[in-house]
Amino acid sequence: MLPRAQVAPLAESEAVAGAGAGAAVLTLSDAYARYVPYVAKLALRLLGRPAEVDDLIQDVFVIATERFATLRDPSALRGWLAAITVNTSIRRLRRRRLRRLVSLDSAQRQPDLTPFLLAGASAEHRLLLIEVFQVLDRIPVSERVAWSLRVLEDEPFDSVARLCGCSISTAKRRVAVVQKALDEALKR
Amino acid sequence: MSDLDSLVRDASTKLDFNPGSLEALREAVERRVQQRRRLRVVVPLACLTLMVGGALSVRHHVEPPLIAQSVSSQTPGARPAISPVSLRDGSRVEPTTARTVVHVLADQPEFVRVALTEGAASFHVVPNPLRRFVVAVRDLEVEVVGTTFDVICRDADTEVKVQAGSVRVRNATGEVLLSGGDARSFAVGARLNAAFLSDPEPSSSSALPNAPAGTPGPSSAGDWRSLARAGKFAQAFKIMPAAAAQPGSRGVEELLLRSDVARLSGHPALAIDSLRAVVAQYAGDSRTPSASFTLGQIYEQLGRPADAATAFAKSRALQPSGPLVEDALARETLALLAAGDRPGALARARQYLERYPAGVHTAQIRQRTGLP
Repeated sequence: MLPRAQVAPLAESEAVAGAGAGAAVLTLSDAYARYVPYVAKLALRLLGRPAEVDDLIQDVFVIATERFATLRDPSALRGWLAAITVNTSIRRLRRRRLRRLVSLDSAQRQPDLTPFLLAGASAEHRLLLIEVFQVLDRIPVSERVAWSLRVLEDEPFDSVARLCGCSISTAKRRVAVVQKALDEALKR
Repeated sequence: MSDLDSLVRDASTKLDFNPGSLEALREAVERRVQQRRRLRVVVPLACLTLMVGGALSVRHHVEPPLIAQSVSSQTPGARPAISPVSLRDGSRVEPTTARTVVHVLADQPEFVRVALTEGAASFHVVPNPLRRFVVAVRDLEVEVVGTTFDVICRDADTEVKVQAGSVRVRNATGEVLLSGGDARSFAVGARLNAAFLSDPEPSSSSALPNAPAGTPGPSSAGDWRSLARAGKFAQAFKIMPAAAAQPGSRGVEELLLRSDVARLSGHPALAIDSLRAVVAQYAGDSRTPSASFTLGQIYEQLGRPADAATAFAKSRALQPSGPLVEDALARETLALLAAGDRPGALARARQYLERYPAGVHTAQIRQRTGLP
C-alpha cells in the first residue's frame, strides 16, 4: 500500500497525492486537466439536466480538493472522482425528488439537451434521451443511478455495486427494475 | 442487455458537455473551499447564538417559505411600484401599495404559484394554456386563465379586479369566474357561488349555456339545470338523470350543460359521452371545436393521451383557422409524445414549428421533441 499523501505547503490546486517513495506524484492540476470532462459527462448522464452539471462539477471538485490529501493511490483517481460524482449526484437527485414533493420541481420539466448533443445526433436520439430522462425522474434514485452507471456508463456490475454501495445482486436487481419501467413506458 | 438499453446507450454517446474554462472552474472551487472553511467556524457559532436566542425568545411567528419578495416603498397607488417581480415566462407581478409582500412559491414551465401575503399587486400574466398560474391570497386561490388583474389584500376582505381576460377565484366553498372589467371583494371565509358571477353570458367551456327553447327551464330548485346555472354543480350532479336513450333528441346546449355539470362537480369521465355527442352530432355548431378541445383536456386528465390527441386533432379539423388551433396543435403534439407515437409527434411538431415559428409553445415543442 502506498503511504498517505504528503500535503506540501502549497495552494490547494497544487496539493499532492500519493507522494510516497516510488509513487507517482499527482497534483490537483493534473486532476482538473484529465478528469473534468469525464466528471462532466458522468454528471450529465446521471442527472439528465445540463443546467445542473456545472454546479455538480464544482461540488465534486470542492470535495476532491478538501479530501485530495487522503487519496493514497494516484492511479485510483478516476474511480475516486467517479465515487464522489455518484454520491454528489445521488444527494442532488434526492433533493430534486424532495423539491418535487413540495411542488418546487416539476416531474414534467424537460431538459433542454439540444445544445449538448454531438453533430451526428438525430431527432430520434434527442427524443429518446428526453423520454428516458423523463422516465428516470419518476424512478427511485438508487435504481436510477445503478441503471445509469450500467447502461449509460457501461460500468461492469461489480463497479456499479461498489459505486452504489450495494451488493452485485442488488445492483442487478436495481438495473432490471429500471429496464422494466423503461420498456413499459416506451412501449418497445 | 436489451435492445432498448443498446439504443439508449447509443443515443447517450451523442451527449457531450463542455465544462468551459478549467481556470475559471479552479478559481470557483477554491473560492468555495475558502468559504466552507470560514463557514465551519461561523456556523457552529451562529447555531450556538440561535439556540441561546431561541431559548430566550417567546416569538412564535413563522413566516412562509420566502423565495422571492418584493417590498415597495412608494406611496399607495403609485404604479408601477419599485420592485416588480418578473417570472420566467415573462409574466410580471407589480406591487401597488406602500408595503406589498409577494412570495413566488413555484416558478416552473407548467406551474406558477404566487402568494400575496400583504398589500396589493397587479398581475400581468402571459397567456399559456399549458401552464397553471395560481395566486394564493389568504383562504382564496385565484387561478389565471390569461389576463391582467389586481389583487388588494385588506384587513377584512380581498378584492380582485380583472382588467382583461378572466380568472377563477376559489376557496374551500366553491369557485367563481370573473371576466375583464369585473371587480369583486371577498370577505375572509366567504362562500363562493354563481351569485358572484357578473356576466351571465354563456360560453361552451367555462360558463353555462342557456337552455334551448325546447328544454325544460329553471323552474324549481330541484331541477338540475337550475342548480347548474346557479353554479351548484355538485348538487346538480346528484339529481342529474342519466343520459337519455336517444342522444340525438338532446340539443347542443343540453349536452354542453351536462358536460359542465359532470366536469365541474369533479366527474370528468362522465362528461365524455356528452362532449363526444356534441362533436359527433353538431359538427357545424360554433361551439363544437371548443367542445372537442375540452374533450382532449379531459382525456389528458384521465391519462388517455392517444384519445386526447385525436380530440385535439378533431378540434383543429372542425375550425382550421380558429383561435384554438395553435393550442390544439401543441397539445396534440405533446399528447402523441405521451402516447408513445414519436413519428406522429415529430410530424405534428414540425407542422407547429413551421406554422408558428415564434408561437406561444415553440420553445416547449422544441425542447420536448429535440427539433431545432
